[in-house]
Amino acid sequence: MTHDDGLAPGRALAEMQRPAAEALYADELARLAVADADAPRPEGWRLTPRSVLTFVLGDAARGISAKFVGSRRLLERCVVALATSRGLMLIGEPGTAKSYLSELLAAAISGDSTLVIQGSAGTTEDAIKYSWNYALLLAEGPTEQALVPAPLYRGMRAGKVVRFEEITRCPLEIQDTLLSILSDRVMAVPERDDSGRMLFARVGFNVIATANTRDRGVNEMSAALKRRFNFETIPPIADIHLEMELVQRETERLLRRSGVPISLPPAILEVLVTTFHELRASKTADGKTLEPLSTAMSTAEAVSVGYAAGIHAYYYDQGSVAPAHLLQSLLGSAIKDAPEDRERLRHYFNHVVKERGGAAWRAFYEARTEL
Amino acid sequence: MHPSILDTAGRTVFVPVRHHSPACAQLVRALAHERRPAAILIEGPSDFNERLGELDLPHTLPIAIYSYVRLDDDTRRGAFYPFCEYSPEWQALLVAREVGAHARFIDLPWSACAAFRTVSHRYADRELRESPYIPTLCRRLGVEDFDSLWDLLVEIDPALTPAQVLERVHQLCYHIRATSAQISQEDLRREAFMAAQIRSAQATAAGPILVVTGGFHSYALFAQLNEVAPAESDEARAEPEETLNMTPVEQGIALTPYADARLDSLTGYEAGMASPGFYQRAWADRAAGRADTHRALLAQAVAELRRRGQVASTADLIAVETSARALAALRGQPQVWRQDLIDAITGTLIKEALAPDTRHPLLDALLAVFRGARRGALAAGTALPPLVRDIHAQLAAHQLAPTSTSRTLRLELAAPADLARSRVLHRLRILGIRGFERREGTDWLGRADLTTIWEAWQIGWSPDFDASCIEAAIYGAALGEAATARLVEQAAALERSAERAALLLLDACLAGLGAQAAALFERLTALVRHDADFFSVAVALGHLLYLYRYEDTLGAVGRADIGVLLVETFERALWLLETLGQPQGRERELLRAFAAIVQTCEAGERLLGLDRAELAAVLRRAAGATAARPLVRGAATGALWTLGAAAVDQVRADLASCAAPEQLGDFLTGLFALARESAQRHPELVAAIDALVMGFDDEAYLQALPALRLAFSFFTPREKHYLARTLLAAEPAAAALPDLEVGPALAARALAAEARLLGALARYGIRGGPHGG
Repeated sequence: MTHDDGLAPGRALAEMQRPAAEALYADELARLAVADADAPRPEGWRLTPRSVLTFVLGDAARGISAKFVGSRRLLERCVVALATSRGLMLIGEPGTAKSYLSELLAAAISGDSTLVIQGSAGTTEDAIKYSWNYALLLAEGPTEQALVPAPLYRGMRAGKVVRFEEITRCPLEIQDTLLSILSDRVMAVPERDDSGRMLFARVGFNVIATANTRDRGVNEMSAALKRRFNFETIPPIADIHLEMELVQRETERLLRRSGVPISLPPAILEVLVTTFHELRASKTADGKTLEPLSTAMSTAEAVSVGYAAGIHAYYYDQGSVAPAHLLQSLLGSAIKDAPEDRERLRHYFNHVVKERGGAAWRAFYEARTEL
Repeated sequence: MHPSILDTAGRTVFVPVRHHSPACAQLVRALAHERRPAAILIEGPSDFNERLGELDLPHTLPIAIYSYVRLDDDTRRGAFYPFCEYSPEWQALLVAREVGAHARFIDLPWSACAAFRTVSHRYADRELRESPYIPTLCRRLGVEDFDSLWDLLVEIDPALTPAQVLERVHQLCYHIRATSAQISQEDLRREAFMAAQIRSAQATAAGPILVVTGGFHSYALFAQLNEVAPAESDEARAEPEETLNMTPVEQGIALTPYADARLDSLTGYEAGMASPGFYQRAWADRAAGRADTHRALLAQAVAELRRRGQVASTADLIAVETSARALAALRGQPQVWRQDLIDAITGTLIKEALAPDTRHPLLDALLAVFRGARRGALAAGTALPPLVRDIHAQLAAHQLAPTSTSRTLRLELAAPADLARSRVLHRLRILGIRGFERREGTDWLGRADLTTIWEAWQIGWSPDFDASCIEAAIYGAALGEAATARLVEQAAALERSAERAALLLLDACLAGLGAQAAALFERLTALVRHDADFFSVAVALGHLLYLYRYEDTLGAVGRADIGVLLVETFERALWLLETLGQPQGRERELLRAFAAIVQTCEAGERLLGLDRAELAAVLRRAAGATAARPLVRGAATGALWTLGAAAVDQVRADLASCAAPEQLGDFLTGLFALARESAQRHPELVAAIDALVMGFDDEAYLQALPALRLAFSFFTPREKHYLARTLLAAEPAAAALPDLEVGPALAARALAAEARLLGALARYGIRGGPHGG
């Protein structure tokens, strides 16, 4: 926790748009660390693997909040991959909380989730390993001071977990930068003289990468790099009730932060989450197959649709959220500009929404003129 | 919990087990050797007691005790009590022999239970799985589900003493029972019966008694016999008595072979402890004092992977082993166990996205090893399984017994005796009994010729006949019941296909099954719902409509369950009709599909309450969809017209929207195929088409011509003649068309010429004769 921004810690946290997990949950991490005392753990880890699990999945009895909705087995596999010094690759549809999970894991294991490389078509080796402060380079030569470390360099030096977001969006040759680092755990700095020519990773260093299955996909990764990672697929939330709870909690949090004192009524929430759940799974609650949409219809999108509907209702419609608001923001954000998705959504209305009982579903159906 | 239930030094010791738990089997053995009881009382069918000796023969496990009944509506149902080597009940029988104890089954005979309708696996553990206590405990102990919880508490740790295992199972089951919202009347009746059996053993046995029952019942029995309060509340026992609405008129019980695969496949209410291959190995290793079970199984899995052409390198195996051990440590287990291996392989070897319900081949190989491949066999000298006796009896009763020289049997299904024989033969076919083959007969799927309903069977003795009968015995005790179970299994193996579902239903009708097979219909409904292929659903619709509306011989007409499935298929077809897209090269199927939908609606509107307005709304949308193919739009318009849901003005409007030369013919093809009658009755439509065609210039006309020709080929020559007359009548300048005179001789010549032509086409393999495209 090295956020030195000149403000008092409490105020800094309150004014931050989005504090890092280790700052937000500093208290929980501290308590877990105390409870772990001297229990054995992988070298360089702040917490024992069991406490890492507890931190992520929560434990009501110990006052640890649940932060991630997902299968325990999957989490156990993730933690074991990191504990056995293999890289961890989280893959899945957009909006399945991959990045959030990697943040939580990094915060729990290293106490620092800020060593992030954001993968993009323009990511260069500089942004991954290190670059130079050219003024100092010219003045002093390739010294320690002249070197500007990038997240990977810093993680190796400090023995911390480095997060590589959207790794498959990087060109292959950039991805492969990781090859020797993950297998030999050493980075060559050929410009430096003997003492700094090799950066050996300290214990505790590891990499969590995330990749989006809707993007270019993991199939384009080199086999060599794949071998150095354990892959875990983060599925969308399978249990619709858990998803409803999550969407409720998150929309309320967002609305509160925007100073909007309303919440989604349960009937509206049910319409929202059921619609997302069914369209995402391409299957209705009673087992009828639907044609899949090209959009992922993720939980994150459900939250933003619920949030937008709340804002809309508050400012323009006396604060009562109606199904029509849902449909408007659904069309605006999730469906985007795909005519065939619009067609499939219309089909969903004609065959599924139409048959549903209850005032909210009926009002949702009536709103179909928006389509 | 009353502490004295844990006392193993008393006269009566309650041994709680989970069926098919190796640790519980070991517990039974340990207690029996320690106490040397005079009697071991086991939860098992007490009507098998006189024949317990049959279990001593050298059988190859797994085997099962089958209990079956014939009910007063002449249906047969069966239930099974499967035994593996590591089953606590099996080990209880073995150890009774070793220590010279008297072994007895003490459960109520299955025929006196009310659950014929639902559960047929008597060693399932539904009570344990469904308890609200389990999710709480799982969260507390940090495990994912009941099976992992059980493994963690009872199976994995080799250092647990028998006393610890006993206490853990008692505690777990006591709390499950105490938090149950409801104890079924059937359980209470069974427990009362078991308590009476224990009392009578207490009165006669000259020594300690071990009572080996499902842990769910242990405390209840203990409480009854020791007059302490039961675990559950009074409200939980207050469920109203279930009435036995069916009375068994005949019942029986016998041994039958069983199989690992079948034990592993049980789900839902029937679910027990899965992975018999894994637990068999774990049981054997424990007995031999080995703790490297996972390594042996991993080696087996790798061999299986390689057999399937997958590579698992040494580096991969090191990664799996490391990961499995780390997982076991993280989960607080002293030994690597089943789920650790699954997770280790999932985590380290699979390098791609796993879809929620697809499994990776590597994982499949591992699960195959865990599933086990053993098939049981009864020792020589055991009475044949009931199914085999039933097959022999049925064959004899219908004079169908196979003879060494094969014979052909022609059956006219309209005759009741032949129908009964056909049903027996179809049941044998469904079960895969060798030596019975349907060579030819009525084509149920094409339905071109239904004048006589007949079949020809080839019947002959095959050396595999007896073996295939015994193999099929795992499906049930009677031919009908077993064939039903086999159909349900086949349906379960399909993922999604309405067409295949309809074929299974046809099989059920041919075999005279299905009236009692709620499970089959449930599955078939799911298959229809999952199917996303319009054509497959439409074909199924045709088959189902035929069965429901017209199939008298097989007794399918008007059957309520088929009706429900028909409605489901109809609705699914409407659903998919709108997502049809642009199917190419399937024009005939498409038109047949539309026709099937219209026919179903017309035939089923009154009988099944099908919604004509809903159909009309869907067709209206399809007819108006500008992006759709003209053929689809024409067919939708034609269907609306035929159903009386569109007036001729609407038809002309639709026609006008598909009037381009490249569209017109396709549109009319669809229209005429679905509304041939209406099209002839409305001269204004012909006039409108005429006006459109006359408006084409030469090039446009040539472009439109081939499709137009195809469209008008839906009419017979006489109909075309009539249309031409209508057209000319509107044209004052044109001469009237003479009458079309066709004498019998001319017609015969035309038919003969056509037959020669089609024959020639068929001979040269050009578009396959009368059925060709």
